[in-house]
Amino acid sequence: MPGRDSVVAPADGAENALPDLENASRAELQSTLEELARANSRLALLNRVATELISDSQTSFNDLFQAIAKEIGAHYFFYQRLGGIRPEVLILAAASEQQSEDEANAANEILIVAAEAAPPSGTLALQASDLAQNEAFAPLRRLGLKSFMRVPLLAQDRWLGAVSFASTSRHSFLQTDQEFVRTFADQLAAAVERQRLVLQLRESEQLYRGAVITGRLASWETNMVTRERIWTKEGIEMFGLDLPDGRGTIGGEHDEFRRTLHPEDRYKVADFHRTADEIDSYPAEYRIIRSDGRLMWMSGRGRVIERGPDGKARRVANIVVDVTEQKKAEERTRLLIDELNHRVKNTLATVQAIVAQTLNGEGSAADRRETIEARLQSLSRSHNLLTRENWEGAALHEVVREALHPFIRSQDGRQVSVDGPPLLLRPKVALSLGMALHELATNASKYGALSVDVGQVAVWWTPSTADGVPFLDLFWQERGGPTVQSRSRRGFGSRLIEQGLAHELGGSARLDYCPEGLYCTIRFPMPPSEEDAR
Amino acid sequence: MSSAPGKRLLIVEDEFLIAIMLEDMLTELDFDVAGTASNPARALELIASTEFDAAILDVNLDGCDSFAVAAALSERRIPFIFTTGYGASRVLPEFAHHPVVQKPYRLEELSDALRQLW
Repeated sequence: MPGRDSVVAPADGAENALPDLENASRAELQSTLEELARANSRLALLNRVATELISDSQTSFNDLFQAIAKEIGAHYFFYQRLGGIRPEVLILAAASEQQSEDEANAANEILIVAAEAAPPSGTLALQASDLAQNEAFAPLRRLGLKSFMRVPLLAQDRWLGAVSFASTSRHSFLQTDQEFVRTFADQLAAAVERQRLVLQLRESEQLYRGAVITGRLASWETNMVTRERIWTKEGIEMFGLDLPDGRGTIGGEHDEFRRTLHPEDRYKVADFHRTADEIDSYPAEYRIIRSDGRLMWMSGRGRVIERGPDGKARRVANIVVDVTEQKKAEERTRLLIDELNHRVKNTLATVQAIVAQTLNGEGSAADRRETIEARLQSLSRSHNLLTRENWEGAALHEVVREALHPFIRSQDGRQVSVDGPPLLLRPKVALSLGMALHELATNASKYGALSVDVGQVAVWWTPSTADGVPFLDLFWQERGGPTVQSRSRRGFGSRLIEQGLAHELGGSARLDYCPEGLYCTIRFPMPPSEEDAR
Repeated sequence: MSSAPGKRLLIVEDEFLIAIMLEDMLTELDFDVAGTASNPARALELIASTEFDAAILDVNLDGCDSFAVAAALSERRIPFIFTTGYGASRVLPEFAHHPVVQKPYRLEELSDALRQLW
């Protein structure tokens, strides 16, 4: 941090210089008057500087430097501003001398070298003898310069740059000149700093706007005293409001916020106002219906930024983010969980029915346990099949394969033939048919074609029509097994196939206990095409 | 409240296994099964053509709800109970006073719900 010389304003300097007029000689009086005139002209100049710096234009900067240089009898001036590692020379010009372009360029280069050679901190005023002693200022001497002054630009003790003046006359830049330039430098520093802050604010504003747009944020301020809302551009856009001046009204039929809220959420407005009177920052979540009919979920906070003497909120800053997508995802999850719960409960009821029916059936306790296990496993495999397809359906081929697979004795594939066009079954149809086929396969492995190595099972299906309604006929035929005995007792399996499939699929099923092998025909409404099913 | 024996019931249930279990349970509770429907259309047919004293309605019939059937029963002043895997919240408010039995249910739960009807 550079040290700082005492600051003496030119006005003070002029006051301090007020002489004892009664005892002054004519020459002294004349000199005093001249001094006063000069001080007056300098004050006028500083006043002009102050006015023009506010206008912020570089050309007026140059004009100001010209005027200052002329005032203090300088022939060159330059203005360095800190930017990066080295101070950047912004303005560099000859104040008065008529020079050719080449001469001016050469002078500029020399001055840059000198500016960079001089230590930047603190005010520096050098006369001819000082320049002669310092090798760093040798280039100045080559330009015929005999005096040099540099004043740092400081803003709250932060070094922003420097202004320098050089003169061809031997005894320039005395104390009053230094003070004058110092004041000018302070004004310039304040202007530069202000410009920097404005730029910073603008950048921060752009950053904020960017974040607001990217984050789908809407914000506005509620003023409870003026009963007004001041909306940001993004807020107006997101809420789909028609507010050309960005100002809305609290309460009444023109309350744009209340009107945009979903009717079921409008009661919340009064809640928010009540909460703001008690709490500085509070959450807010609600639905809005935009004028274009779009429903959106909003979530955010209200923050009290001013309270009245009674403690009630006067101004509240509000910010909300569009959470419509999250809400939709939550809703989907909720529906999924609901659906899952329903399926689990239904599956448990199915398991309960399987167990109850099997316990009522024939065979030893061990047989029944085995049967229960096999039926539950079959159900589980059907579930796997459906889960693989996101519970959208299952291919008929797969359903048949899964049902038969555990009972195939040889792996050469000759024992079972499956044939039919590819069809996608709805989950419910897949489950029912899977269970029915499991019963058929179990029966075949116990008493039929799959109980011996030479037996064969053929499963095939073909579309047909009955009374103009498309049906699917599915056939199960066993060959090569033991001679089939017609069974007097109809067990769970046959009940499931003959009654259950008819019940659930809205079709029909028939079991024929032919001596050469069981023959089963199942007819149910044609499953939708694969595209429709998916 | 009168005794159950002899009362005839309509079953509306899309899952066959659950339907036959229900039939067995009702038989055990000395009810008669007047008919079994697996979808709303079949249920409405049976309501129009069959005599029965009460019904057991599954709320979800393969993706559809059974409230049209419930409305037809209410119109005829036939008492009924709901069965569901979803929870009672799925029942429309206008039918909220009807007993709801959660799947999977026990014989006693079914019996208690049915006895509330008379």
